[in-house]
Amino acid sequence: MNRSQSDQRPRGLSRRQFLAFASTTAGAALLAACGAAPEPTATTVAQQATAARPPTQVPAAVGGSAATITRAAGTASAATPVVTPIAQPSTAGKPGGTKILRVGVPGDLTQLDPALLNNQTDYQISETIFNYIGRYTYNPPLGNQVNPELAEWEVSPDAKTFTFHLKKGVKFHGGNGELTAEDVRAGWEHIKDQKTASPYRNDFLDATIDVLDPNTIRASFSRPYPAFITAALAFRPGFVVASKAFAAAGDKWKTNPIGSGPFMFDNYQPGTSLLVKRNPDYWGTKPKVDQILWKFRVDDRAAILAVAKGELDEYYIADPDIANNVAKNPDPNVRFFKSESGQSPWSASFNQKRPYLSDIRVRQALRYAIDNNAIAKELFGGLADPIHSFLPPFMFGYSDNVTRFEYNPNKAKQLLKDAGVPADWSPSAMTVSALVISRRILEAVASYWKDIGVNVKVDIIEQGIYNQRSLSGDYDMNANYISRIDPDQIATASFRSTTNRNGYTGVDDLIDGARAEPDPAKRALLYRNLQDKISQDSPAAFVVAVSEHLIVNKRVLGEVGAGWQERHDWFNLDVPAE
Amino acid sequence: MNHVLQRLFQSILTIFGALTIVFLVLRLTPGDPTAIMLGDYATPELVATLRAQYGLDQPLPVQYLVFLKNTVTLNFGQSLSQKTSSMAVIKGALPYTLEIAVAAMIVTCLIGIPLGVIAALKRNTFADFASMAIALLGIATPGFLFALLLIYFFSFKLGWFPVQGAGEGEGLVSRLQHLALPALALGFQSAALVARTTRSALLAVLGEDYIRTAHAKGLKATTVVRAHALRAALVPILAVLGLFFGQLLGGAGVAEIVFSRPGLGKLLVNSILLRDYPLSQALIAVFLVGVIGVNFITDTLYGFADPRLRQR
Repeated sequence: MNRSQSDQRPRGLSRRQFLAFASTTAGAALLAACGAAPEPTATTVAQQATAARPPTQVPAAVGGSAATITRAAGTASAATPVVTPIAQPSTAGKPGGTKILRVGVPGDLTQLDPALLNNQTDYQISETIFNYIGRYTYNPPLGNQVNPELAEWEVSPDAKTFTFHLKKGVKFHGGNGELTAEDVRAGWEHIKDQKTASPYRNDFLDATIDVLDPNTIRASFSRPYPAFITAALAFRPGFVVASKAFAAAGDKWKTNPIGSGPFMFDNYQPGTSLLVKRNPDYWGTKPKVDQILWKFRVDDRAAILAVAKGELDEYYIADPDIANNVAKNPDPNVRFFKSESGQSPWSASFNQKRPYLSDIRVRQALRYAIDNNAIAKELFGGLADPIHSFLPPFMFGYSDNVTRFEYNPNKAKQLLKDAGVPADWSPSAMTVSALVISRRILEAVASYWKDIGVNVKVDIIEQGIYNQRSLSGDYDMNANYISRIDPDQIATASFRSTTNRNGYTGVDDLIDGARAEPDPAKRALLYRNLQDKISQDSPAAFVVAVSEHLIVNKRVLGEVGAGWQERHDWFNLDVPAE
Repeated sequence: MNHVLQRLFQSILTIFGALTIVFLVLRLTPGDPTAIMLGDYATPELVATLRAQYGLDQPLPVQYLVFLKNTVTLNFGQSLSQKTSSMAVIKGALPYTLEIAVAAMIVTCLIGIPLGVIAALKRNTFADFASMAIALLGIATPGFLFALLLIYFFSFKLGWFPVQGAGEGEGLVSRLQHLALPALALGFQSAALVARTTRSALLAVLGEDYIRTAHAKGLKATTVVRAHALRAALVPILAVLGLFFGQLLGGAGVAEIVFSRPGLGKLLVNSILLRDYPLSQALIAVFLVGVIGVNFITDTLYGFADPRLRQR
């Protein structure tokens, strides 16, 4: 623009006027964005005025004890920081309508082969389509029991032989016949097959499987394996599928899964949604909802608004900051659940093949430097539990009575000095960028280490690179959390000399002994000793067990908790018809 | 005809060149799809078994030959993360990407071009500065923040639109309702740049002799702008719109993530993170075809917009 043109603006704005306009516009947008929390809608108020929610009931699993656990409305647990006590609408809804439970998940379905199930989304969906041999039932406080589902069983006193008597008359979906011992055998052989590359192969590896009659099957092990049912059969590899349909479907199984569970697969839209419908011929407790619709790839922030609006009924929040915020500022339409105890123990393992980390004094110093309680309280707002060894509080064998390294930075500095660690020692600690929780804890832990003069270089890396470095042992410290069901699974995977990549040795006998002990009381004691020994050796810094956080729209009835031990009793959830 | 054939040949060459680079880059990036699949269960033995199953243990040239064969037959192989054909996965997400790209383009045109025209005609007035301030705001606001603000006001506070999803499996009205905010979020951002381009292009044309002649002939001001000025100014605008559309086909990722919509952008991000080689390659092939196709159409449209270009 030349001078003469700029002089020609009769009604033009000065630069100052323009800036004032722009900043007012931006300011107004920001102010509006930071406005007050949403007001409850008229419907909400009306619904809140209705009668208080009846107690939630968790039925005992089929064939199990007759005890019925009754819990007060909306109380996930005494330890849960915030659960909004709210009134419940009637679940009747529209006469003749359909009851649809909508569940949001951040991931997508990858597969439905029980031998390969390896993520939460696949697992959740499988739980509705398939049955287990035995299913975990939650007995508060912090008790887990496996009750018979598709079979009842006998275990030999030496815990080497397991005989299963299958329930008769259990029908597979879609006219695929009745459950027989052959279906169970085929599933177990599939896991044992090396070509399957099942992560659960070790659970079945030395098992001899014999079909005794169409309804009886026996698994015999060369060594005692008391955790066979709790660790394998009531977990992901324990789902039973229709073996003929499985073989016939080949690589189309993902969209043609046949089980005997309370719901039947209906359709799957990649990256979008999956629908299951109620199995009208279900042999067990009939589900209350007609359909469950999973919506995939849902974003955390959008999900919170969607659950509040009733577009989604349930969603697990991964980010502790967001969970904390939701717990503190609950929406009137949303109930917030925290698992009763931390589920997944987080630790930073020390590579003992690297300088200084082979010295036990250095490892213990690094543990003395961390204030586990403060991390649980400040970082998670109490939504995580501090731990002192490798097991999470919910798990069989967990003990609080182990050697502890309570926060003591002076002692930590002294130990480092005694070990001759130079002032410029700067090890690296890696974790996965996508695991928000792990990232946050590692950053907090690294700042504690900095306080004692160890400048840890934090490597937040993408999953692919992390896995590669983890497998090749290319790290000083490796931070992550692990989700398992039985103490042996964590002990063997993380601390046995043959499997851990940190150069840690010395507990193989304890691990093998505990794995093979048939007496539960003795086994629990062996795990206490193992936890104590591992804590003393400090092959890793054990910090907190991370909780699960679930938000549920108040229209859902029957949800009792967020933790895996509280489980989703899918058949027990209910929503109004629409 | 020769020209078209030459162009087609060039396009195919470009696609193969780009896919070869993608093939190499994906495999040279650290990280192994099978280790990611196995997660914290990964052991060297399980990784080796799975690598052999998926043919990832083969030498790179062998893998490249398989890849070439798959590309030529338009069968990009089984997606490693989805355990189903890559093309089937893409087919599932493609309609959502196309609908959001088209809707966002409509929003871009409806907001961007009028704003630009107003700014140019009312140059250096309040209207000009206001239009450009809006444009500036659009360019400066991060996409995800704008999307979240839209969700907060229009979905959560006012309840006009759904918070998330694409109305999958629902009727047309629901699909459109789900489409409105993502289209606005994406469209508003590109509208900003289109407005600025329209303004400069129109200003340049308005200074031309033939516009003065048109005015001198006594034509109405609106006719001069619509029939003479804007039409000639359309070429750079079309160029920008073409680029945007190409970008939208693969780059609606932010809106797809924030609004939890299915779509190719999000699929690509995930497939690369999971090192799903076949799916990543198939997606990039689709994007390349899309972008090249859009460029071809844009080039054709230039002639319609400005008849002078047809004679060249």
